[in-house]
Amino acid sequence: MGGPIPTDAIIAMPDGDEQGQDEPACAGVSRGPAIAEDAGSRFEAEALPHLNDLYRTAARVLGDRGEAEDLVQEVYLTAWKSFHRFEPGTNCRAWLFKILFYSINHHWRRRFRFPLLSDREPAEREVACATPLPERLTDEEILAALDKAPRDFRAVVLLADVEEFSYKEIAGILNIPIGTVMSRLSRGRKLLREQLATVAQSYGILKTNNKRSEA
Amino acid sequence: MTADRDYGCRQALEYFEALTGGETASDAKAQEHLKACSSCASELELRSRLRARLKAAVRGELPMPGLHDRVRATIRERERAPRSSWLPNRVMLAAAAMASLCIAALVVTRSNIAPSTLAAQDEFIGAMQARVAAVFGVGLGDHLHCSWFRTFPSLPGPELTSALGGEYAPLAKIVRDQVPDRFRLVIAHRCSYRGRRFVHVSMKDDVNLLSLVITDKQAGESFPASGGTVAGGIQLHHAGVDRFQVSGFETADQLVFLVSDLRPDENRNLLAALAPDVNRVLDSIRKG
Repeated sequence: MGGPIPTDAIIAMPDGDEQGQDEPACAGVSRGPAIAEDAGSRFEAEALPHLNDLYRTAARVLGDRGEAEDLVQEVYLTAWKSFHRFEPGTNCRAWLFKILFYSINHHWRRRFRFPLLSDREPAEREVACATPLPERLTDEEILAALDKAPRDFRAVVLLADVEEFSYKEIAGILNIPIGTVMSRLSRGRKLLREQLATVAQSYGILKTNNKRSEA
Repeated sequence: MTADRDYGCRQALEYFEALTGGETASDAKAQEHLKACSSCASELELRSRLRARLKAAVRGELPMPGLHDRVRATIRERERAPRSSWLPNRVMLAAAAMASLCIAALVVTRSNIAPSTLAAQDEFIGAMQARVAAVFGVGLGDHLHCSWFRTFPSLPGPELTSALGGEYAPLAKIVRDQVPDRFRLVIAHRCSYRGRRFVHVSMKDDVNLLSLVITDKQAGESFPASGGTVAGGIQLHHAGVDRFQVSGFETADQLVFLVSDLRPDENRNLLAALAPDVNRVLDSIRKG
């Protein structure tokens, strides 16, 4: 899925008075008007098609659409500022997601909201409840179930199952080992199924919480 | 199903999970298993349908119509005036700095509301400790004694962390890395209070003061067996009294506290973020 993520393309992230710092173009590369225009067009062509992907991931991880829109704008500004380091042909989408998650962590830190916000980390256990037929659940029910998973797990499920990044790409985006990606994904998927089963029971789609589904 | 068959199912399902993430080589045994095992085949089919439904549900959510245009406009604005556009921000920052100074001058300092004599301070600490479970009072007492009643120099020297001693020195950076940048390090040392020794890192901003406090356990000392929250596999415990929040966890032989006047959830979450790295440092010290 694309090339490797150009990790060195990420420069200082938005931070307090950072907006007064030099833009990347000032780090030895002067961006003249013609070059800047060309870079701008190239940036728009390469990066803007991924805006919806970034937005929906931010909205689900943050749980707030307004914050997600602000953050996505911030991500694009950061990406534009370091775009002169971006190598054409490398994985622009994964690079943007890496900036997104860097920004999300920064956003939480600024507000004293840390990724480990869950009151009780879900215990490791086998899924003992049946999963309802996916087609019988509405989008809202599925999203509500996803939102109940702790953020770390939710993020990995979103990146793997919705955005279809490989484990290696997710490890690069979240800056965690591949083994951690795999274990979080496994637990995240189990949690999602448990939540879906709970939703299904509450709507009468599933009659029991054990190993049989109505269908 | 027999035990062997169960094991085979688990292996096969793990293989196909890994396959979706592009992290495994071809496994003929798993393929064979799938052909023979209807249970695995239907499980994989269900997982695939769940993923498809999840993908459709999440991808159905689109941003407000103007977001593309706003991002494009911002980029084009930066293209045209990459430098001068920062000027308003600099002006705003200067104004904000002035405003902060004015507000800071109006803020009631701790020394104005805290007891002024040592005896009164000890009495205050004792009263606060009495209102939380004894184990929480250990960290709270050191925070109040060592940080809350202290007036800090405006610009602490670079030698500050040397008072921690080599093995505990990483703690200052660990705390620094997790708090917002407006906080500055004001204490990083080893101290004692009422005959008990502590490792103590404190940071403050214009409003809040927080302390990471570590001490050796004494006989029978432990957090309550039930309650609390778990973060990164570490059981965290919480208590609060008046404006003070105390969160803590324990290792085999030490108690670790985060004490602050942050909001309860902020204090709890900050310790949750600190705990794995602090635990790692303590573990490496223990192993020598």
